[in-house]
Amino acid sequence: MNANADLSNELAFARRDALMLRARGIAKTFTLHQQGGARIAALHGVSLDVERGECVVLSGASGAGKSTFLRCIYGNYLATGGTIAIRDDSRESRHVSLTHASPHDVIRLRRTTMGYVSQFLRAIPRVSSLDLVSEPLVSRGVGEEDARARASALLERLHVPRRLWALAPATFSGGEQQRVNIARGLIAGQPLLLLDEPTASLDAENRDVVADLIVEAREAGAAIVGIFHDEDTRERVATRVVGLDELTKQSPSNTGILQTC
Amino acid sequence: MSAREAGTELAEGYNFAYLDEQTKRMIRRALLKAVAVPGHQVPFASREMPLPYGWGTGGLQVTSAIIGRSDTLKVIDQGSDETTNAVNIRRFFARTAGVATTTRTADASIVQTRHRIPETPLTEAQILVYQVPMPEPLYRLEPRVTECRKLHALADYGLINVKYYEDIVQHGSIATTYDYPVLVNDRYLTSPSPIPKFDNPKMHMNPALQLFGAGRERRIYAIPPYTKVKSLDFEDHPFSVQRWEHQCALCGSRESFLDEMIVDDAGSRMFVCSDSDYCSSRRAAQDAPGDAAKEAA
Amino acid sequence: MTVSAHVAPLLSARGLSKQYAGRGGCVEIDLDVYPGEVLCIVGESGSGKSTLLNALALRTPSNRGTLTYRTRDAGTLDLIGLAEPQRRMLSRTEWGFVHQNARDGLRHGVSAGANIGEPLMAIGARHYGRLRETAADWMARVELDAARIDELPSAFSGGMQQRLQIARNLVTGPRLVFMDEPTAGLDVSVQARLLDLLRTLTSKLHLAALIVTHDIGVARLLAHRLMVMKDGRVVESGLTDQVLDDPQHPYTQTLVASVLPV
Repeated sequence: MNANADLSNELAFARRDALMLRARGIAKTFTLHQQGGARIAALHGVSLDVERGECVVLSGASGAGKSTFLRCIYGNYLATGGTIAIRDDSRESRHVSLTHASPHDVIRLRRTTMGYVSQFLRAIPRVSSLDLVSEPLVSRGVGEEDARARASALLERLHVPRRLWALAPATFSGGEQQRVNIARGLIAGQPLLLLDEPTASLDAENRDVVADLIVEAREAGAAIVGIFHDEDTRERVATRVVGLDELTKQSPSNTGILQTC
Repeated sequence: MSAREAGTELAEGYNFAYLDEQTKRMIRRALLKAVAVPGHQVPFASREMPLPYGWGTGGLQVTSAIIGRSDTLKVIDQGSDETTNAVNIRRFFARTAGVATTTRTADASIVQTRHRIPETPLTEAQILVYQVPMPEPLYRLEPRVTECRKLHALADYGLINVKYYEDIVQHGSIATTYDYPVLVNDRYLTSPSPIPKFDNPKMHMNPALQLFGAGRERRIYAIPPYTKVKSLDFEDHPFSVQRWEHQCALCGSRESFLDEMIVDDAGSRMFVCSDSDYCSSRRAAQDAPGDAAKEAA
Repeated sequence: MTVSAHVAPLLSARGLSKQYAGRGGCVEIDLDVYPGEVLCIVGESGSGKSTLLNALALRTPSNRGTLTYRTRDAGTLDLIGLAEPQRRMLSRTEWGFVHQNARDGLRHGVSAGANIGEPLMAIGARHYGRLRETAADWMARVELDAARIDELPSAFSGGMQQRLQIARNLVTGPRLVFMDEPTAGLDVSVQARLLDLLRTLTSKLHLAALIVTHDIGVARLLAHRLMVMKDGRVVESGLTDQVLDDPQHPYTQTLVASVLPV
């Protein structure tokens, strides 16, 4: 099955120049050993292709597994079934199989290709917001001065007050933290972006700014998969809206497992 | 004090030069090893000598192993032929080996010394035997003998530079003024024995064979003739020797190592050559330069 | 920017075991450390993590397994059975080892400056002025007051001694640093500052680091990858965020659940 999947992936990435992400049959079941081995099936075989310039918005009820799906793509969760392939033109096969990659390769992938904006800012303590935002550029070899300048510009655009730039975000309001988070996630211009409710705690004005940024990224050729609860933002950024259940194929092996959301 | 004839004091009942022949062979084997690896400490089975540890038993054993009937022996203690130790050791060999003894460096074939190198330059026909209290130059920095052995084996001598660094921090200069460690033949870090650092340069490329004996610590080492001997330092704090403002009060020398002597209860000071033979030779040459020339002829 | 070719690991162990009379220690360990990456080995007392660290750093001989290291200019070395002179050279020029207790990693009779300068002197540095400049520079980098360069280590607090130890280890520009519980025993605020320092240094200097700790918070803050050890074996390993957010093994789940929330 794997060999076939690899071959079909290779052909897909070769034939379709714009293809960035190819997820096939992603399943995720959590086994809670602390609770006597209780199993929770969160994903039942999700498949999705995303091309450059697309912004796919996942819709569905809360707890349906949208976040889980994004985290599987990012490698934050280990998928229990299925394959995830991401374009990598430095290789002959033109893609990297995330599900079969070593942790070291995933690190490299995150650095070069994949960006992720989570719902909550889990930042390293005691680092200033300016440093947090410039770090993704610095780690890619951009000079510190230059990185700081670009980070400042982005923070400015997101209306993060200048006086907060030298402070660590721990004491910021939810909205301010979220904007720092977004800046950090978008600044490096990754070709594949995974956005989990990036506008959740923002007011209308700031939501617009974020939407602008996402549209710009999309038009610059990024492939985006996002979760947005806010209708307006969704409308502005999405090229496609799909429900998770639409993407899920029912397969016999999934039935019979306790399903909780 | 001039030369003494051989055989005039020979005592009965002792083997030549006191030690038995097997012991001498053992010591000579150690000496050969030492000469083959300049600066490397060779262990040897130090014998009980009629002298307590700390009084020169190592030097005594080395001299005993190498001295022959035709040798002429000079013994100095901090430059002087006339201290108790020098006199006793000289008499020891006169009585057990019946060899000729002298106070003149130029006339000696073997010079046994405690804590000084003679001012008079030595020749290829001479051997200098040093008395060594502590042969291990890293002793104070690394108390573990096993670790010291490894450091020497691996030529891992960064530690001595740490000491010098601290000296410069605390005193503005490297504080060691005697027993100043040297690197022999670009390989082994060696203790030159507690000679003043003033004498260190004399060790370098010396035509004489230099042998070192430490009786209490049971080690022998050697510097063969014409061997490179370098005193360690920092590039920006180079090794330098002591200098005096005074000259010798007796012979006028400005080049030799001077002893400071308090001559009365008022604290009057006098600076005199530490090397008594050197001083007296200079004085003899000054008093009767014509006679000296006649003697030489 | 094109992605560079696959980078080989710096340090590789396969089936490495070190036990004491057939018990305890660590068993059948496979691991790779990559350049510029921090790998944390997490486990509780008796998990074998310190034994593993010492075996990897060649401070104790292993019983079984292979261990290789890719040097700067001399190709890949087989570390098992490496001769003592080469081991010392490696420890001096390419590796660092930060002890849990700064007392074990510093020379107490000499000044802070001498402590930092010693590794340089050991590899041939002979200029007092430059040694001093380098030492002062490093003191500043680890956030110690460079004016205290001539003070003895005992004049510094525990946290500062630890920084001094770190400076002493990093002064020769090593590629791989082993750390044994570097923040254990320090006050919480002191720990925090030290962790920040380690995080900054490892990323700025592109250091590979192998850190043993029982504190998951340390791992989350510093490590790219994580290995969980129990009873001498590795029970789980992977990306730090993955192991902590999606732990698979029962023991890992217990550990993660046991962390006190702030």
